[in-house]
Amino acid sequence: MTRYTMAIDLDSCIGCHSCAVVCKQENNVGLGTFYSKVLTIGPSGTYPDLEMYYLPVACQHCDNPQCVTVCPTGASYKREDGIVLVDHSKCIGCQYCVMACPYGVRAYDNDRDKGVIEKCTLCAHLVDDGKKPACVRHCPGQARLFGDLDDPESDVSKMIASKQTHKLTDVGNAPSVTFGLDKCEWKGSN
Amino acid sequence: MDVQWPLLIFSVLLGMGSGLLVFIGIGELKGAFKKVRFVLAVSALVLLAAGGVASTFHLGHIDRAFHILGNLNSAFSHELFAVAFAALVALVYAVLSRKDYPGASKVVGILALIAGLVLPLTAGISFMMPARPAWDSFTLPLMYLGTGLGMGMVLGAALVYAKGDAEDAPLALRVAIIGVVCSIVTMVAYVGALALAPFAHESRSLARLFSGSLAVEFWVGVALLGIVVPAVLVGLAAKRSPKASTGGSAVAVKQTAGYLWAAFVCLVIGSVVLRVIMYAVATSVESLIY
Repeated sequence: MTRYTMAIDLDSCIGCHSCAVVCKQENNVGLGTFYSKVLTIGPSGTYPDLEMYYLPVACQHCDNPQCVTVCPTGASYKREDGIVLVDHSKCIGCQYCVMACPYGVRAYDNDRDKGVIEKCTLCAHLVDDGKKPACVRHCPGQARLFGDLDDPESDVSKMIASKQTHKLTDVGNAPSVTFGLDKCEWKGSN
Repeated sequence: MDVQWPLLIFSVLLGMGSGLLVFIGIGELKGAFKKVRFVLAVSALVLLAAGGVASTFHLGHIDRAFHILGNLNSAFSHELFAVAFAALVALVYAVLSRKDYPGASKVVGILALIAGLVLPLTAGISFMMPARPAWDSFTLPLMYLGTGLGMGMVLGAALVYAKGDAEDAPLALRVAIIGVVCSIVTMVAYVGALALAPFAHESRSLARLFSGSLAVEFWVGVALLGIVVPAVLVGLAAKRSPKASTGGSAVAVKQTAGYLWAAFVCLVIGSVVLRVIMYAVATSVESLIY
């Protein structure tokens, strides 16, 4: 069974924000709204032993997405291939999914498609066309990897097998995106 | 999180209406409040309807409302069913109260009591989300229930003093006191549960309520107006209330009613402010973008 997700090699991320910019271009994301952002974690430690890393964040396409559970209309749904999406034609803009998301990566659209919820789609339109998500294709450090978690030969599986891996805080939602980090201390809870 | 005013107003009106339904149920079980039962039922219905209308202002697309039952497992859908059931019970009871069907009125009155207890709990449960540690406690639906009982029962008692039979007044006052006690206990329990919430963070700490950016709201709105003043006012009402056997003077009845109306206003303020705090402390586990 296919389980598409993303793995991000934080040791290779240079914090250029290309992923956030190309995401807005590819998905026509409105002003003030982001599907993806790059956070700066640190610096931490004591001089001269300081360390810092960049953390690209977006929807984690959880295995047990709470946004899907609370959605009264079924507008938020998880595809069989693991991608979590919002069907705008069914979304009533109640924002329960925004409240239920542990990561603050969903936004109420006041600009482009008024009154519905927006978030990272893992570029499902490109994936369905046999391509990779825009952020993955345009990452200059090749830090972002996309693939099938159930395929041991996928880029995602290879990175997970080769690095120390971490996930964002799990409150029962089981986030699917994996972060690889060997060179610094992970500052998250997992 | 920003205060979601349509949802806040909805929850306060819904609580008030639910408390009135419980008040009606108790009246039916005790064979009391016959003179005001129509007013009580219509008031509950109006409050539920007004709350329902307020909640629609929260939606981005009310025009797609027919999709709402697309996921019957969602707490939102359960809440919708509970509101519809409570409103239907209030409507049927209002119709029955204009006629003389004691048996049917008693059955529907008991259904009103059940609906009045279930609805605030259902509404509160819809906010229990692991992503928001300050909400993910059963003390939240209990607070919705308790504050609803406080507002609704005191409102019901005030209506009995204004329009009801004199012999019903002592029972109404006792019910109002029980409502205020429920309100106080559940408000304190909800605030106390914040200290036990997982993923402790300054934004949802008791320190923020006691001495931080929410101190004015907490001490003035919740502690003083939501807890202390209503307790004092119903205490004064109990002291001033004429005994059923003696009837009592019109002045005493009027003064007792005044205390009850004042207590009701304070309970509404307390409930609103506690919900403002509820939204303010509802920070998510990790706010990464928004």
